Amino acid sequence: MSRFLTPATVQEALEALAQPGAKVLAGGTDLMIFLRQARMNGAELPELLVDVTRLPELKRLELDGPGCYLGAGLTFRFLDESPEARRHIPVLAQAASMVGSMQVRQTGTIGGNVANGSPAADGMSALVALDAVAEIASLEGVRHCPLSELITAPNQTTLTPGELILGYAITPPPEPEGQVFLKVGRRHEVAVSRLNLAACLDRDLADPRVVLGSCFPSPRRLADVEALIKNGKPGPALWQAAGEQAAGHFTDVCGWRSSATYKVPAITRITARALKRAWAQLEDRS
Amino acid sequence: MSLGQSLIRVGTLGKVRGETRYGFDMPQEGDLQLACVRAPKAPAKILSIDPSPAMSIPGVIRVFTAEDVPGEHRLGIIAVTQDQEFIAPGWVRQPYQCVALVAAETLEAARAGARAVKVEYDFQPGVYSFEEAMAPDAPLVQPEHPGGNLLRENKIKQGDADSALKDAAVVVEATYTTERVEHCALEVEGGRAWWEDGRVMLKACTQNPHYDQADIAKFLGVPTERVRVIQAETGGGFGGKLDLSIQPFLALAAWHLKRPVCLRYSREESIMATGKRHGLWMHFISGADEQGNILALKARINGDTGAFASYGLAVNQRAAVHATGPYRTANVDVIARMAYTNNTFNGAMRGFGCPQVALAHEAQIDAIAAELGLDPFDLRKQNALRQGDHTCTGQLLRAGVGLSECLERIEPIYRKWLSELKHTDDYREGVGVGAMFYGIGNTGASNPSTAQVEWMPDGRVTLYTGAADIGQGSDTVLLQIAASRLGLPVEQIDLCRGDTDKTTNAGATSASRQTYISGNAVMGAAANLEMQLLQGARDMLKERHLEVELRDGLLKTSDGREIEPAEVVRHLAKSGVRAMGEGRFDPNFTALDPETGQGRPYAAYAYAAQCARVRVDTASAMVKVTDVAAAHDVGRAVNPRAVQGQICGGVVMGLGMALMEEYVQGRTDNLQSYHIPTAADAPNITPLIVEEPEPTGPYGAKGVGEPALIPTAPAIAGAVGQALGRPMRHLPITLERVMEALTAAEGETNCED
Ligand SMILES: Cc1cc2nc3c(=O)[nH]c(=O)nc-3n(C[C@H](O)[C@H](O)[C@H](O)COP(=O)(O)OP(=O)(O)OC[C@H]3O[C@@H](n4cnc5c(N)ncnc54)[C@H](O)[C@@H]3O)c2cc1C
Repeated sequence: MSRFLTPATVQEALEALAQPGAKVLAGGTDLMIFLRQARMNGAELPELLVDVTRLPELKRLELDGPGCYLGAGLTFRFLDESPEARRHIPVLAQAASMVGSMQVRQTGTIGGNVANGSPAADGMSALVALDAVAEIASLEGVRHCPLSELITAPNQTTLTPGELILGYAITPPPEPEGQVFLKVGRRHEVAVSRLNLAACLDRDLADPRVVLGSCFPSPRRLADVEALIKNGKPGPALWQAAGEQAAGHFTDVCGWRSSATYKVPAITRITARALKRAWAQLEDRS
Repeated sequence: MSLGQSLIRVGTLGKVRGETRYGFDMPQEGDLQLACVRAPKAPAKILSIDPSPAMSIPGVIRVFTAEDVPGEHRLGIIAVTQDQEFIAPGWVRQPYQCVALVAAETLEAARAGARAVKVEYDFQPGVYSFEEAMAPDAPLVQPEHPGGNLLRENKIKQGDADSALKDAAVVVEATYTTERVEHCALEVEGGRAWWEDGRVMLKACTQNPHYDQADIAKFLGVPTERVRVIQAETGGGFGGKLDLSIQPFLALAAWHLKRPVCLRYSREESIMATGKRHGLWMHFISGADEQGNILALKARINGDTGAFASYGLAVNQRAAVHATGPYRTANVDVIARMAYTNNTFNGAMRGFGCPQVALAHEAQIDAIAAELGLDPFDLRKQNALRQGDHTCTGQLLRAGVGLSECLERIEPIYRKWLSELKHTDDYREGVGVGAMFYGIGNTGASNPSTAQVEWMPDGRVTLYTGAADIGQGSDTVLLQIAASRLGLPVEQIDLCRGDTDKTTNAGATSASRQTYISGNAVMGAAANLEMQLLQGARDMLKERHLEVELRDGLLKTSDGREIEPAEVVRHLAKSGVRAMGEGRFDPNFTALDPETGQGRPYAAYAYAAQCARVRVDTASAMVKVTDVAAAHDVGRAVNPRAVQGQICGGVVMGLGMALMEEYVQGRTDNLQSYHIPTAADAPNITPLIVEEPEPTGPYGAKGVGEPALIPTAPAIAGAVGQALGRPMRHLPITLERVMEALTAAEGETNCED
C-alpha cells in the first residue's frame, strides 16, 4: 500500500520526492492505470505518492508579455476553456479540447502528459510546436530542458526520481499567426491518437512550425517540412508538397512498416489540411 | 390498460440513484475471495500442479484443481455439446482456461496465490483458424466430438440454385468477413455463493438462472434441489452471460469450504475468459432477373467457435437460416460450417450469426442494384418478404410480416438524406440501407417458458417468472402483460423473478424471446388465474351456474354482485388451495431437415429496416455516422419507450461492430485496446415503431432485443461504400480500410478528369 502526501509548497514536495520510492501524482489519469495494473500483477507499488495538484506554482499561466510560461499543473479542461490560452496558444487549447473525455480533461495535466512520455501525447505535440522548455526542479536545484531532449524513448524520460516539472517556458510563433491542431483516433472521443499534427504559420512564413505526433518515439518538429514552407509560396500546392514531405520524413525515420499504408496518405492529407486551415485562420485574423 | 404505455421501467429509480446492487456488488465483508489460475497458451497437457507455494502465502485457504470437482467436468448451455471444462482436467484446450482455483481471506492473497501456483505444461501443436482446423491430420480440439474438428454443418437447400444462377440476368459474387466482438456489458461478471441448510446458494449475474442451477448441480454431482440460484440484478448481458462464467467456481468453493465466497472478474479477465461473437467468413453468390427479382442464393459460411461449442450450433444454424436476408429467394443452397479451434471460445452475442450474414445479404442487394442500374431501396421493397411468401426453409409466412411497412417508414428519410448528400474537400457523405428478419426463440427446437400469477389473500397479486431481466426490460413488459390481462393497474402486482426456489424455468433471456415466449406464458398464467377466481367465486357463493367476470379488479356476477377477489382467495385458502394460475408456452416449430434445412424453425419473425448517413473525412479517413433511422416491426409495443431504448442501444452497438470492434486474443484484452463506441460516436437516432400484429404473440407482440442491432452495420457499410464508390465487405471498417478505399476512389476520379 502506498502512502499519500499533499504538500502545500514546492519545497515540501521536493523534500517528499527525495524520499526513496516516491512518485509524483498529478491528475492521475496515466498513473492510476499504471498503479492498478501493478497491483493486479502483484508488482511493486510506489511507497509514497506525492500529490502536486495543490501547488500554486504549478498553475501559473503567463501569456502576455515576453516570458510566456505554462505551469505543469494546468489541466486540459482549463486550457481548453481559458480565453487567454485560446487567444494566444490556440494550438494547445485545441489539443487540450481533444484529449480523452471530459473526465480526463478535468484532471489530466500537461505536466503528466509530458512526464508520462507517450509517443501519442496530444498536449506534448502542441507544446513542442510552442518550443516549450521544461523547468525541472529537485532538491539539487533547477534545470531547463527542451522537450525534444526530455523524452528519450517511448515512455522514457531523463527525469530522475526526485525531479518535478514546474512548468514550461514557451515561445509562440510571431503574431499574427494561424495555429491548428488535428488528431486522428479510432473513435471520436477517448481515443489514443493514431496520429496528431500541430501546425503554426505566421504571415511571413518566417517561423513555421510543424509537429507530428504518434509516429515517432516522441512528437517531433519536422525541420525539412518547415524549411520547405519557409521557402515556398503559400497556397494549396505548398500545403500539398509539405504534406508529402511530412510523409516522406515519416518513412525515412520509421521505414515502411505495415502501418505506413495508412499513415503515409493520412500524414500527407492531415498536414496539408492543417496548413491550409492555419493559413485561412491567419488571413481571417489580419 | 397499461399495455402500450411507456411506463417507467421497474427498478429505474434505484439504478439512477446508484442504489441497485448488481451481482458484482454481492460480496460482503468477511467473504472468502477466489482467483483463477489460467493457462497462458493452448493446447497443453498439464504435467503437474504444485499448490504449495500458494498455500504458504498468508491468507490462502485452499487451492482447488480438477480433482476437487465432485461431479461432471463437461458443462455447456446446449445439451448436445456439453464440452467446457471449468477447471481443466489434465488437458488445456484454449488459452486462459482455468487450471486451478485459489480461495483466500483477502483478494490480494487470492491473487498472489493464483500467481504462485506452479503449473507445468507440455504445450502441443494446435489449430487456430477454420482452415487449420479442417486440414487433414489436424490435431483434434475435442477428440470426444464425433465430427472431428467440424462442430456442425448446416445446409439449406431449396429449389435449384445452380441452374437458377445460370439463367440469371445478373450474378454477383463476393466474400465478406466479420471479426470477433466482445459484449462489454457495463457490469462485469460477479457474484457470491454460500452454504445454507446443506445446500449451495448462489447469487450472481446471469441470463438464465435455471440453466445455471442444472449445470452447477451436475458439476457438484448433486440433485438440482441442492443448488439454489438467485439472479442478481444484472448489468447487461448481450449473450455474454448465457454461458456459465464465475458460477461453477463459486459453487465449488462454497460446497467444499461451507463458507461464503465471492468472485468478481476484472474487466480484463472478463474479456479473456468469456465468449465472443463469432467472426464469420461468408462467400455469397446471388442471381437476379433483369427486373431485379432475386432468383437464387448460393452461400458458404465458415466459422471458428474456439475450443468450446458454447452457442456455436445456434450461431451456425441461425446464420444459415437467415442467409437470404428478408427477401424472397426461391432457389437456395447454403452451407454453413463451424469448426473447433484452440482459440478462446465464441458464443452467443445479440443476434447469433444474423448480424454477420446481414452484412453479406445487404451488400449483395446493393451489388445487384448497381449491376442492373436500379435503385437499391426499390429493389429491397420489391423483394421484401410479404405475407403469403415462403422463407428459404419453406416456411409459409401467414401473418405478421411488417417488413414492407418498415421500409416505407424509412424511405422518405432515406430519400431526403440522399438528396442532401455532399462531397467537399474535407468530407464525402453516403447513405446506406440495411434490412433484416429474425426468428424469435431457439431455432427448430423446443424452448418453453413457464410462469405463475397468484392472487394473494391481502388483495395484491404476485407474478412469478424465471425470466432474467438483464436490463432489457422483461420485468416491466411481463408485469404490463399480466396487468393488462387481469385488468389491473401494474402497481397492484408484485414481481418475484429469477429465483430457482420460487420461480419456474422461463428459459434463457436470449434470442429476443422473453416478450414473445414468457409473455405468452404470463398471459396463460393470468388467464388460468382468472378462471380459478371465477370458479372459486361460484364455489364460494354456492351458485354453480352463475355468470361471473373479472372486471376493474372485481368479480362481478350477472345478478349484480361485486366481490373482492381476495375474498375468494381466502375462501379457497380454507381448503388449502392457492389462487395461482399456471402458464406455459412453447412456440409452434418443427425441427429442420438435416439435409435440406427445410421446416418451420420459428413460430414468429421480427422485421426491421434501417438507413444510415455517414460522413467520411477525406484527410483522416475517420467515419462519423451522423444519423440512423430505424424502423422495427415489433408486433405490438408493450412499452414503446422500452422499445425505443432497445433500438437506440442496438444501433450504437451495431455501429461499434461496423466501425471499430475487433477482438484479437491476447492483444485487446482491455478497454484501452478494445474500442467500443462512446457518446461522441453515437449518431442521431430516429427510432420508428411498426406494429404488424403477430397472431401468436401476447397482444400481438414479438421481440426487438437483437433485431435492434442487426441492420445497423450493413446500413453503415453501405453508406461508407456509397461515399467512397466501392463496397465495404469487411468489418470493422477501420481507418486503414477506409483510407485504402478513399485513395483508390480518388485515383479513379483523377483518371476520369
Ligand atoms: C481514458 C483516458 C483517455 C486519455 N486520452 C488521452 C488523449 O486523448 N491524449 C493524451 O495525450 N492523453 C490521453 N490520456 C493520457 C493522460 O490523460 C495524459 O497523458 C495526461 O496528460 C496525464 O496527466 P496527469 O496529470 O493525469 O498525470 P499523472 O497520471 O498524474 O502522471 C503521469 C506521469 O507523470 C508523472 N508526473 C505528473 N506530473 C508531473 C510533474 N509535474 N513533474 C514530474 N512528473 C510528473 C507522474 O509521476 C506519472 O509518472 C488519456 C488517459 C485516459 C485514462
